[in-house]
Amino acid sequence: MLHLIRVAVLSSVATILAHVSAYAAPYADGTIDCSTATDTQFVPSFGMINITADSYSRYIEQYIYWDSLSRLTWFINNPDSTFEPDAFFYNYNGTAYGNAPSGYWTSTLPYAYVDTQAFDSDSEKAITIGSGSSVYINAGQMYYSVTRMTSGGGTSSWLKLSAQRGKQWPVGYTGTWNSFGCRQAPNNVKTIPFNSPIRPTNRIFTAPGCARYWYNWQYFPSPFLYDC
Amino acid sequence: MPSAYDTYAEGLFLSLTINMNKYVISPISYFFCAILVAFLVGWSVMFVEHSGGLHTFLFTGDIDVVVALLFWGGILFTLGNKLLFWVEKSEKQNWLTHLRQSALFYLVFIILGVPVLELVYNSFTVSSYSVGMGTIYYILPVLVASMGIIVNGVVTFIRHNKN
Repeated sequence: MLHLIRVAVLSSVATILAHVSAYAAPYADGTIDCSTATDTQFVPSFGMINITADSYSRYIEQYIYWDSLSRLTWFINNPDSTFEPDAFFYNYNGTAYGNAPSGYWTSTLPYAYVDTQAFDSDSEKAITIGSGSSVYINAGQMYYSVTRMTSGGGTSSWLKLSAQRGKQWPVGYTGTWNSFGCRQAPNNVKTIPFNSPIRPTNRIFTAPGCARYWYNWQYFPSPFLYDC
Repeated sequence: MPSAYDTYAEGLFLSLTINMNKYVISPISYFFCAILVAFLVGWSVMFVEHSGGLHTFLFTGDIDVVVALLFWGGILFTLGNKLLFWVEKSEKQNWLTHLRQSALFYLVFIILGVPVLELVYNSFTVSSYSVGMGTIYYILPVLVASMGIIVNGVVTFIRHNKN
Protein backbone atom coordinates (compact mmCIF):
# COMPACT_ATOMS: atom_id res chain seq x y z
CA MET A 1 0.00 0.00 0.00
CA LEU A 2 2.79 2.39 0.96
CA HIS A 3 4.60 1.48 -2.22
CA LEU A 4 1.50 2.33 -4.24
CA ILE A 5 1.23 5.72 -2.51
CA ARG A 6 4.90 6.39 -3.23
CA VAL A 7 4.52 5.57 -6.92
CA ALA A 8 1.31 7.59 -7.16
CA VAL A 9 2.81 10.65 -5.47
CA LEU A 10 6.07 10.66 -7.40
CA SER A 11 4.44 10.04 -10.78
CA SER A 12 1.75 12.68 -10.15
CA VAL A 13 4.33 15.28 -9.16
CA ALA A 14 6.41 14.44 -12.24
CA THR A 15 3.35 14.66 -14.51
CA ILE A 16 2.24 18.02 -13.12
CA LEU A 17 5.74 19.50 -13.26
CA ALA A 18 6.17 18.28 -16.84
CA HIS A 19 2.80 19.77 -17.79
CA VAL A 20 3.48 23.14 -16.17
CA SER A 21 7.07 23.45 -17.41
CA ALA A 22 6.00 22.60 -20.96
CA TYR A 23 4.41 26.04 -21.22
CA ALA A 24 6.12 29.38 -20.79
CA ALA A 25 5.18 31.10 -17.54
CA PRO A 26 4.20 34.77 -17.50
CA TYR A 27 6.71 37.47 -16.61
CA ALA A 28 6.21 39.64 -13.54
CA ASP A 29 5.14 42.55 -15.79
CA GLY A 30 2.12 40.53 -16.94
CA THR A 31 3.37 39.53 -20.39
CA ILE A 32 4.05 36.07 -21.74
CA ASP A 33 6.15 34.66 -24.58
CA CYS A 34 4.17 34.04 -27.77
CA SER A 35 4.91 32.79 -31.27
CA THR A 36 5.31 35.35 -34.02
CA ALA A 37 2.28 36.80 -35.76
CA THR A 38 1.29 39.54 -38.13
CA ASP A 39 -1.41 42.04 -37.19
CA THR A 40 -3.79 40.64 -39.79
CA GLN A 41 -3.67 37.23 -38.08
CA PHE A 42 -5.57 38.39 -34.99
CA VAL A 43 -6.80 42.03 -35.26
CA PRO A 44 -10.53 42.25 -36.11
CA SER A 45 -11.39 43.27 -39.65
CA PHE A 46 -14.15 45.56 -38.49
CA GLY A 47 -15.49 46.96 -35.25
CA MET A 48 -17.84 49.48 -33.79
CA ILE A 49 -17.75 51.19 -30.43
CA ASN A 50 -20.57 53.10 -28.81
CA ILE A 51 -20.12 54.90 -25.50
CA THR A 52 -23.20 56.46 -24.02
CA ALA A 53 -25.26 56.86 -20.85
CA ASP A 54 -28.80 56.27 -19.65
CA SER A 55 -30.59 57.08 -16.43
CA TYR A 56 -28.66 54.31 -14.59
CA SER A 57 -25.03 54.79 -15.62
CA ARG A 58 -22.54 55.24 -18.42
CA TYR A 59 -21.90 52.19 -20.56
CA ILE A 60 -19.78 50.97 -23.44
CA GLU A 61 -20.76 48.66 -26.30
CA GLN A 62 -18.48 46.97 -28.82
CA TYR A 63 -19.18 45.04 -32.00
CA ILE A 64 -16.25 43.01 -33.34
CA TYR A 65 -15.97 41.09 -36.60
CA TRP A 66 -13.33 38.96 -38.33
CA ASP A 67 -14.21 38.53 -42.00
CA SER A 68 -12.22 35.38 -42.84
CA LEU A 69 -10.33 32.49 -41.27
CA SER A 70 -7.03 34.00 -42.37
CA ARG A 71 -7.71 36.91 -39.97
CA LEU A 72 -7.89 34.33 -37.16
CA THR A 73 -4.74 32.41 -38.10
CA TRP A 74 -2.83 33.10 -34.88
CA PHE A 75 -5.79 32.16 -32.69
CA ILE A 76 -6.35 28.94 -34.64
CA ASN A 77 -2.68 27.98 -34.41
CA ASN A 78 -2.60 28.65 -30.66
CA PRO A 79 -5.35 26.76 -28.81
CA ASP A 80 -4.33 28.51 -25.58
CA SER A 81 -4.72 32.01 -27.08
CA THR A 82 -6.76 34.86 -25.57
CA PHE A 83 -8.01 38.15 -26.97
CA GLU A 84 -8.72 41.53 -25.40
CA PRO A 85 -10.40 44.40 -27.28
CA ASP A 86 -9.26 47.11 -24.84
CA ALA A 87 -10.96 50.50 -24.62
CA PHE A 88 -8.84 53.15 -22.91
CA PHE A 89 -10.25 56.45 -21.65
CA TYR A 90 -7.73 59.29 -21.66
CA ASN A 91 -7.07 60.21 -18.02
CA TYR A 92 -3.72 62.04 -18.09
CA ASN A 93 -5.63 65.16 -17.02
CA GLY A 94 -8.03 63.28 -14.74
CA THR A 95 -11.05 63.73 -17.00
CA ALA A 96 -11.75 60.22 -18.28
CA TYR A 97 -15.36 59.67 -19.28
CA GLY A 98 -15.37 56.10 -17.96
CA ASN A 99 -13.61 54.88 -14.85
CA ALA A 100 -14.10 51.15 -14.20
CA PRO A 101 -16.45 48.33 -15.20
CA SER A 102 -19.27 48.04 -12.71
CA GLY A 103 -22.62 46.24 -12.67
CA TYR A 104 -24.26 44.55 -15.63
CA TRP A 105 -22.16 43.19 -18.46
CA THR A 106 -22.57 40.59 -21.18
CA SER A 107 -20.67 39.35 -24.20
CA THR A 108 -20.96 36.82 -26.99
CA LEU A 109 -17.17 36.34 -27.09
CA PRO A 110 -16.15 32.77 -26.13
CA TYR A 111 -15.29 32.37 -22.42
CA ALA A 112 -15.81 36.09 -21.86
CA TYR A 113 -14.51 37.82 -18.75
CA VAL A 114 -14.31 41.39 -17.48
CA ASP A 115 -10.65 42.29 -17.31
CA THR A 116 -9.18 43.46 -14.03
CA GLN A 117 -7.75 46.97 -13.71
CA ALA A 118 -5.30 45.77 -11.05
CA PHE A 119 -1.73 46.85 -11.86
CA ASP A 120 -3.00 49.16 -14.66
CA SER A 121 -1.73 52.69 -15.09
CA ASP A 122 -4.07 55.39 -13.79
CA SER A 123 -3.33 57.59 -16.83
CA GLU A 124 -5.48 55.47 -19.12
CA LYS A 125 -8.60 53.84 -17.73
CA ALA A 126 -9.03 50.47 -19.41
CA ILE A 127 -12.47 48.91 -19.80
CA THR A 128 -12.23 45.49 -21.37
CA ILE A 129 -14.30 42.39 -21.89
CA GLY A 130 -11.90 39.74 -23.13
CA SER A 131 -12.16 36.25 -24.53
CA GLY A 132 -10.46 33.59 -22.38
CA SER A 133 -10.27 31.15 -25.28
CA SER A 134 -10.07 32.92 -28.61
CA VAL A 135 -9.52 29.69 -30.57
CA TYR A 136 -13.34 29.43 -30.51
CA ILE A 137 -13.86 32.76 -32.30
CA ASN A 138 -15.56 32.28 -35.66
CA ALA A 139 -15.00 34.18 -38.88
CA GLY A 140 -18.08 35.86 -40.31
CA GLN A 141 -19.81 36.23 -36.93
CA MET A 142 -20.45 39.62 -35.32
CA TYR A 143 -19.46 39.54 -31.64
CA TYR A 144 -21.06 41.89 -29.15
CA SER A 145 -20.03 43.08 -25.69
CA VAL A 146 -21.54 45.63 -23.34
CA THR A 147 -20.65 46.70 -19.83
CA ARG A 148 -21.82 49.40 -17.49
CA MET A 149 -19.11 51.46 -15.87
CA THR A 150 -18.55 53.99 -13.15
CA SER A 151 -18.11 57.59 -14.25
CA GLY A 152 -14.69 59.15 -14.51
CA GLY A 153 -13.74 62.72 -13.73
CA GLY A 154 -14.99 64.30 -16.96
CA THR A 155 -18.05 64.61 -19.15
CA SER A 156 -16.05 63.92 -22.30
CA SER A 157 -12.65 62.40 -23.10
CA TRP A 158 -10.55 60.91 -25.86
CA LEU A 159 -10.79 57.19 -26.34
CA LYS A 160 -8.32 54.63 -27.68
CA LEU A 161 -9.23 51.15 -28.85
CA SER A 162 -6.72 48.34 -29.23
CA ALA A 163 -6.65 44.64 -30.05
CA GLN A 164 -4.41 42.59 -27.78
CA ARG A 165 -3.40 38.99 -28.35
CA GLY A 166 -2.42 36.89 -25.37
CA LYS A 167 -2.18 33.44 -23.88
CA GLN A 168 -3.71 31.50 -21.02
CA TRP A 169 -1.66 30.59 -17.99
CA PRO A 170 -2.00 28.05 -16.57
CA VAL A 171 -3.18 26.55 -19.85
CA GLY A 172 -6.86 25.62 -19.71
CA TYR A 173 -7.81 28.39 -17.28
CA THR A 174 -9.91 31.15 -18.85
CA GLY A 175 -10.39 33.90 -16.25
CA THR A 176 -9.17 37.45 -15.94
CA TRP A 177 -6.13 36.34 -13.92
CA ASN A 178 -5.23 33.74 -16.54
CA SER A 179 -4.97 35.93 -19.63
CA PHE A 180 -1.53 37.44 -20.28
CA GLY A 181 -0.71 39.78 -23.14
CA CYS A 182 1.98 38.66 -25.58
CA ARG A 183 5.49 40.00 -25.05
CA GLN A 184 6.32 39.93 -28.77
CA ALA A 185 5.06 42.60 -31.15
CA PRO A 186 2.62 43.03 -32.72
CA ASN A 187 0.79 42.45 -29.47
CA ASN A 188 -1.34 45.50 -28.78
CA VAL A 189 -2.51 46.98 -32.06
CA LYS A 190 -4.34 50.30 -32.00
CA THR A 191 -7.55 50.15 -34.00
CA ILE A 192 -8.61 53.65 -32.89
CA PRO A 193 -5.75 55.81 -31.54
CA PHE A 194 -6.27 58.74 -29.15
CA ASN A 195 -7.12 62.04 -30.83
CA SER A 196 -8.29 60.38 -34.05
CA PRO A 197 -10.27 62.29 -36.67
CA ILE A 198 -13.25 60.34 -37.97
CA ARG A 199 -14.86 60.64 -41.35
CA PRO A 200 -16.77 62.19 -42.96
CA THR A 201 -16.48 65.41 -40.92
CA ASN A 202 -12.97 64.77 -39.52
CA ARG A 203 -14.13 65.61 -36.02
CA ILE A 204 -11.96 64.16 -33.24
CA PHE A 205 -13.46 61.03 -31.79
CA THR A 206 -14.42 61.46 -28.14
CA ALA A 207 -16.53 59.64 -25.60
CA PRO A 208 -19.52 59.69 -25.37
CA GLY A 209 -19.83 58.90 -29.02
CA CYS A 210 -19.88 56.20 -31.64
CA ALA A 211 -17.38 55.17 -34.31
CA ARG A 212 -16.72 52.34 -36.70
CA TYR A 213 -13.29 51.14 -37.79
CA TRP A 214 -11.97 48.94 -40.57
CA TYR A 215 -8.55 47.39 -40.13
CA ASN A 216 -6.74 46.34 -43.33
CA TRP A 217 -9.96 45.12 -44.86
CA GLN A 218 -11.88 45.88 -48.04
CA TYR A 219 -9.12 48.12 -49.44
CA PHE A 220 -9.55 50.71 -46.68
CA PRO A 221 -6.36 52.31 -45.40
CA SER A 222 -5.75 51.32 -41.82
CA PRO A 223 -7.21 52.33 -39.49
CA PHE A 224 -10.17 53.67 -41.43
CA LEU A 225 -12.58 55.39 -39.05
CA TYR A 226 -16.12 56.45 -39.82
CA ASP A 227 -18.98 57.95 -37.84
CA CYS A 228 -21.85 55.63 -36.91
CA MET B 1 18.35 -19.77 8.12
CA PRO B 2 19.26 -16.29 6.82
CA SER B 3 22.92 -15.37 6.76
CA ALA B 4 24.34 -12.36 8.60
CA TYR B 5 24.60 -10.60 5.27
CA ASP B 6 20.92 -11.24 4.53
CA THR B 7 19.94 -9.86 7.91
CA TYR B 8 22.15 -6.84 7.38
CA ALA B 9 20.75 -6.23 3.89
CA GLU B 10 17.21 -6.58 5.14
CA GLY B 11 17.92 -4.14 7.96
CA LEU B 12 19.51 -1.67 5.58
CA PHE B 13 16.55 -1.94 3.22
CA LEU B 14 14.14 -1.43 6.10
CA SER B 15 16.12 1.55 7.33
CA LEU B 16 16.27 3.06 3.84
CA THR B 17 12.55 2.51 3.42
CA ILE B 18 11.70 4.19 6.73
CA ASN B 19 14.07 7.07 6.03
CA MET B 20 12.78 7.42 2.50
CA ASN B 21 9.26 7.68 3.89
CA LYS B 22 10.41 10.30 6.34
CA TYR B 23 12.79 12.38 4.29
CA VAL B 24 11.55 11.98 0.72
CA ILE B 25 7.97 10.77 0.50
CA SER B 26 6.58 12.83 3.38
CA PRO B 27 7.79 16.26 2.22
CA ILE B 28 6.91 15.51 -1.42
CA SER B 29 3.46 14.14 -0.49
CA TYR B 30 2.72 17.22 1.56
CA PHE B 31 4.01 19.47 -1.22
CA PHE B 32 1.77 17.60 -3.65
CA CYS B 33 -1.18 18.78 -1.52
CA ALA B 34 0.00 22.36 -2.11
CA ILE B 35 0.09 21.85 -5.87
CA LEU B 36 -3.46 20.48 -5.73
CA VAL B 37 -4.57 23.40 -3.56
CA ALA B 38 -3.06 25.93 -6.00
CA PHE B 39 -4.77 24.33 -9.01
CA LEU B 40 -8.10 23.99 -7.19
CA VAL B 41 -7.98 27.61 -6.00
CA GLY B 42 -7.37 28.73 -9.61
CA TRP B 43 -10.16 26.51 -10.88
CA SER B 44 -12.61 27.67 -8.20
CA VAL B 45 -11.92 31.34 -8.85
CA MET B 46 -12.37 30.78 -12.59
CA PHE B 47 -15.63 28.88 -11.92
CA VAL B 48 -16.97 31.71 -9.75
CA GLU B 49 -15.91 34.26 -12.37
CA HIS B 50 -17.81 32.52 -15.17
CA SER B 51 -20.79 31.74 -12.92
CA GLY B 52 -21.65 35.07 -11.39
CA GLY B 53 -18.60 37.30 -11.18
CA LEU B 54 -15.71 37.86 -8.81
CA HIS B 55 -15.95 39.59 -5.44
CA THR B 56 -13.55 42.41 -4.72
CA PHE B 57 -12.17 44.08 -1.63
CA LEU B 58 -8.90 45.60 -2.89
CA PHE B 59 -8.18 43.75 -6.16
CA THR B 60 -10.46 41.86 -8.53
CA GLY B 61 -11.29 38.48 -7.03
CA ASP B 62 -9.19 38.83 -3.86
CA ILE B 63 -12.11 37.71 -1.67
CA ASP B 64 -12.69 34.65 -3.88
CA VAL B 65 -9.00 33.69 -3.71
CA VAL B 66 -8.95 33.90 0.10
CA VAL B 67 -12.18 31.91 0.49
CA ALA B 68 -11.02 29.24 -1.99
CA LEU B 69 -7.61 29.04 -0.32
CA LEU B 70 -9.12 28.60 3.16
CA PHE B 71 -11.60 26.01 1.87
CA TRP B 72 -9.29 23.84 -0.25
CA GLY B 73 -6.26 24.43 1.94
CA GLY B 74 -8.24 23.55 5.05
CA ILE B 75 -9.44 20.27 3.56
CA LEU B 76 -6.34 19.13 1.68
CA PHE B 77 -3.67 20.19 4.15
CA THR B 78 -5.58 18.52 6.99
CA LEU B 79 -5.92 15.33 4.94
CA GLY B 80 -2.26 15.64 3.94
CA ASN B 81 -1.21 15.78 7.58
CA LYS B 82 -3.29 12.71 8.37
CA LEU B 83 -1.56 10.91 5.48
CA LEU B 84 1.89 11.92 6.75
CA PHE B 85 1.04 10.64 10.21
CA TRP B 86 -0.12 7.36 8.75
CA VAL B 87 2.89 6.96 6.43
CA GLU B 88 5.48 7.78 9.07
CA LYS B 89 3.75 5.93 11.93
CA SER B 90 5.75 8.19 14.20
CA GLU B 91 4.69 8.84 17.76
CA LYS B 92 7.18 11.62 18.47
CA GLN B 93 6.18 14.95 17.01
CA ASN B 94 8.28 18.03 17.59
CA TRP B 95 9.46 21.13 15.76
CA LEU B 96 11.98 19.04 13.79
CA THR B 97 9.10 16.94 12.45
CA HIS B 98 7.42 20.13 11.33
CA LEU B 99 10.58 21.46 9.63
CA ARG B 100 11.15 18.15 7.86
CA GLN B 101 7.58 17.75 6.62
CA SER B 102 7.27 21.38 5.54
CA ALA B 103 10.81 21.66 4.13
CA LEU B 104 9.67 22.28 0.55
CA PHE B 105 7.17 24.91 1.73
CA TYR B 106 9.91 26.80 3.52
CA LEU B 107 11.98 26.57 0.34
CA VAL B 108 9.14 28.14 -1.69
CA PHE B 109 8.63 30.71 1.04
CA ILE B 110 12.29 31.74 0.96
CA ILE B 111 12.69 31.71 -2.84
CA LEU B 112 9.46 33.59 -3.64
CA GLY B 113 8.79 35.32 -0.34
CA VAL B 114 11.77 37.65 -0.62
CA PRO B 115 10.75 39.09 -4.04
CA VAL B 116 7.14 39.36 -2.86
CA LEU B 117 8.16 41.27 0.28
CA GLU B 118 10.39 43.53 -1.84
CA LEU B 119 7.49 44.12 -4.22
CA VAL B 120 5.03 44.95 -1.44
CA TYR B 121 7.59 47.23 0.25
CA ASN B 122 8.37 49.06 -3.02
CA SER B 123 4.73 49.46 -3.98
CA PHE B 124 4.07 51.25 -0.67
CA THR B 125 7.24 53.36 -0.56
CA VAL B 126 8.08 54.19 -4.20
CA SER B 127 5.35 56.28 -5.82
CA SER B 128 6.39 55.55 -9.42
CA TYR B 129 6.84 51.81 -8.77
CA SER B 130 4.58 49.71 -10.96
CA VAL B 131 4.02 45.98 -10.86
CA GLY B 132 2.46 43.69 -13.44
CA MET B 133 -0.21 41.03 -13.33
CA GLY B 134 2.41 38.25 -13.41
CA THR B 135 3.25 38.97 -9.78
CA ILE B 136 0.05 37.19 -8.73
CA TYR B 137 1.86 33.95 -9.58
CA TYR B 138 4.58 34.86 -7.09
CA ILE B 139 2.07 35.80 -4.42
CA LEU B 140 -0.24 32.77 -4.73
CA PRO B 141 2.49 30.13 -4.06
CA VAL B 142 3.66 32.16 -1.06
CA LEU B 143 0.09 32.23 0.31
CA VAL B 144 -0.36 28.50 -0.31
CA ALA B 145 3.03 27.72 1.26
CA SER B 146 2.18 29.89 4.28
CA MET B 147 -1.06 28.05 4.80
CA GLY B 148 0.66 24.66 4.46
CA ILE B 149 3.27 25.69 7.03
CA ILE B 150 0.64 26.99 9.46
CA VAL B 151 -1.60 23.89 9.21
CA ASN B 152 1.35 21.54 9.62
CA GLY B 153 2.67 23.61 12.51
CA VAL B 154 -0.69 23.54 14.30
CA VAL B 155 -1.17 19.79 13.73
CA THR B 156 2.37 19.04 14.94
CA PHE B 157 1.87 21.21 18.01
CA ILE B 158 -1.41 19.45 18.89
CA ARG B 159 0.16 16.00 18.46
CA HIS B 160 3.21 17.03 20.44
CA ASN B 161 0.99 18.10 23.34
CA LYS B 162 -1.06 14.89 23.11
CA ASN B 163 2.08 12.83 23.56
